[in-house]
Amino acid sequence: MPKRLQVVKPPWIDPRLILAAIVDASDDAIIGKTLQGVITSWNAGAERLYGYSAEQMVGRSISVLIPLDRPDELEQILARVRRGERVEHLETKRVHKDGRLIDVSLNVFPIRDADGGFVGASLIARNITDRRRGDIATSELAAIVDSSDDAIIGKTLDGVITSWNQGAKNLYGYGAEEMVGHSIALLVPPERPHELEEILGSLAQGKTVRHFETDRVRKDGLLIYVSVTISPIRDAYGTVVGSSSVARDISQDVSTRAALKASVLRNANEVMRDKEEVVALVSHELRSPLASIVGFTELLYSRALSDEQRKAYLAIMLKEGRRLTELINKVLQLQRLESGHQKLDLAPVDVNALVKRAVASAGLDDRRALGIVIPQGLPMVMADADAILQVLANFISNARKYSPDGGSIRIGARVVGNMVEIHVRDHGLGVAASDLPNLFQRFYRVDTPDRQSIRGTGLGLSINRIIVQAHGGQVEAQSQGLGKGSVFKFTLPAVQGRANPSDVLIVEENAGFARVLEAELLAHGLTSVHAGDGETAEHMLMDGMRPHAVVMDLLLPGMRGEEFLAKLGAHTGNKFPTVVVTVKDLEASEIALLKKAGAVAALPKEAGATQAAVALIVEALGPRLVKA
Amino acid sequence: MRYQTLPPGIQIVKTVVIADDEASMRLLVHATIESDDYKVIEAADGNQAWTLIQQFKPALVLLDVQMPGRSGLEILRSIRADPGLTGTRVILLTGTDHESDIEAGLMAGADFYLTKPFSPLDLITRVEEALQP
Repeated sequence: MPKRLQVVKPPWIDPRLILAAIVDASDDAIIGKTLQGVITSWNAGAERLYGYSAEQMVGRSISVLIPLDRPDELEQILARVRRGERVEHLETKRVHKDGRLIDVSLNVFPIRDADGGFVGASLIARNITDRRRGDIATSELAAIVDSSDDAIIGKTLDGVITSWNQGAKNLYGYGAEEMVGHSIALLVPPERPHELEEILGSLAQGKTVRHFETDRVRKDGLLIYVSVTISPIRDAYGTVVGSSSVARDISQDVSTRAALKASVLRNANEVMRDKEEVVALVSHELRSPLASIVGFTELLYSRALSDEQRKAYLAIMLKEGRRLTELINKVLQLQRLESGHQKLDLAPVDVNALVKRAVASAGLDDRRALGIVIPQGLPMVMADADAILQVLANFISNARKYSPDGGSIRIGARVVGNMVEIHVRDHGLGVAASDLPNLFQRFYRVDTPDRQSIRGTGLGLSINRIIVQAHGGQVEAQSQGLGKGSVFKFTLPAVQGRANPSDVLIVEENAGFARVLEAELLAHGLTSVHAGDGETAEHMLMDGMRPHAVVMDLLLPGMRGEEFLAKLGAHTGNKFPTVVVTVKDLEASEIALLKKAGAVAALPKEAGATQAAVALIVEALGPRLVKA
Repeated sequence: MRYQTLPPGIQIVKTVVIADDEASMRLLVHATIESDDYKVIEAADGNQAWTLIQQFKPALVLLDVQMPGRSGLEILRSIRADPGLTGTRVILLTGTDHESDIEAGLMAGADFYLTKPFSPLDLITRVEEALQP
């Protein structure tokens, strides 16, 4: 008998049992229903999803799970099933037993009987509420990322770009389609070859790189300065799988900061450079006259020279010595003015008298005659007479210097708004338009062949500018061009209306002495006003000022003291006490004349003179006027 | 050129050009080096100096560095670049004593460099050294 092979039968399990076990073990809800929607089976997953037990649901219509706002949905699904169609991944909402809505994804398959006819449907439902929440959160995040002004970029650990937002496009100029899949290295300037490596290294160790400031290259090649924060992205197991970077353009901030820093540095540098420039120029300017003086001294000392030669050399030494003195004085004055150490003694000043004094001290020059054209009734200016005299002297000296072929020079004045504008006009070499704006700068000298023989320190006009500006005025140079002469203008504040009513008028050229007098008078409760010359004092009287007393010097610039005394009598009838304080040696006859002209007393200008003068005035005015 | 046409045997008088924009300095230098051995010509600015140098082909030029027109350094470089002026010696006179300026002057080919104020006796020594054949 042939031996039969023993057949080992595999253990047999009824497939229906297997299916039932699977159905029962499934996390998904698996439901059987008729073509009309009557539930025929209900697994444990369904109970977990919807809250109802199988006992509660089998035999009932599935419609109990459908939200009221979707009345047609069941019929639509069933209609498709009846036609033999599947419904796959239908994302919809269903009602839990406790009434809350849950997000579900449905798969509905028709069930055929043995004859192939459709008898019912199997329905698998999966809870996607959490995923939906995640989806919403993700889409919100996506919207945030996309609307961000910052460049937000995702990349792998190798630096390959995986996401690229609108901000990145705006910042770097590349679109997502150009960058996703490419290396971030494209953005790193070639001068920073190791930067990317270091960053990726840090990330691989799980470190976040915060506010890293660096350069990046835009698509157009422009270098931008960005602040980048780069964080590792971890997968569900905590392994770093990539990184996200948020970059912000701080070029503006940096340039602002840099500009600020630069401006601070620039200021400091400017001061230093100014100082260096001054030192360089001064040393150069000083060396030339010094070289002449030292050189000729040595020649005089070491050589046998004729009288004629000796005189010629000495004359040069004297001239150069004076030049040196002038230069040193000007440099020192400029330093004093710029540092604010030179204080102005402001008082009302009669412009006409001031200009006359400036012209008188400029001396005569037949080929460059000075003329004054000042209208009647010009208001006084608030000025330091000595400082403005220097301004005028500088302008006049320049006008003459730069008129090598001669030509008249006119000094005029007019009212402009609440200022008085004074100008000095010459018919000399003129100034090119390009030089005009620089004329008032220190050491600026126009270097044209016709001026080479004209010496100057380059400081006069800058001294003028500073003095005038300290008065609240402006300087200006005008010229129609080379060979057409020039006009130098400056403004000073006009004295508005009549001068403050004061008890005592002081007519005194020496501002220092006047100040002592003013203080002494004030100590006795008397106010005073100071006029630096007789003309200004007369101007005040003509403007209607009526003092109760006068203290005056006889040695005045311009109008003599005696002349002013006579005018004072003419204006006022000598109704108030006048005290003369002067260094002038007075003979008895002169004192008699002064007394006849209205002076109460003539005091020598010596120690105690101010107290004596004030005592006389207080005595003459009587106690009624003494307010102290 | 003029002097080259003179008959042989007659000693050629050397020409010295002084270029300085300051009259006092020109006079000082002129008075210092005054001699029967040289003919001294003065120039008041750089452009005039260059014209005179080209015209007279001087044996020596005393150049102020800071001048209107061409600066002393410019003229010095022009002299060194001019094949017709290979024999011309140059002494620079200047108001600065910065190392860098002195270096620039010597680099440009100056034979000597004097800083103002200078001693006239020192200047004479330099001039004589420079004019030695």
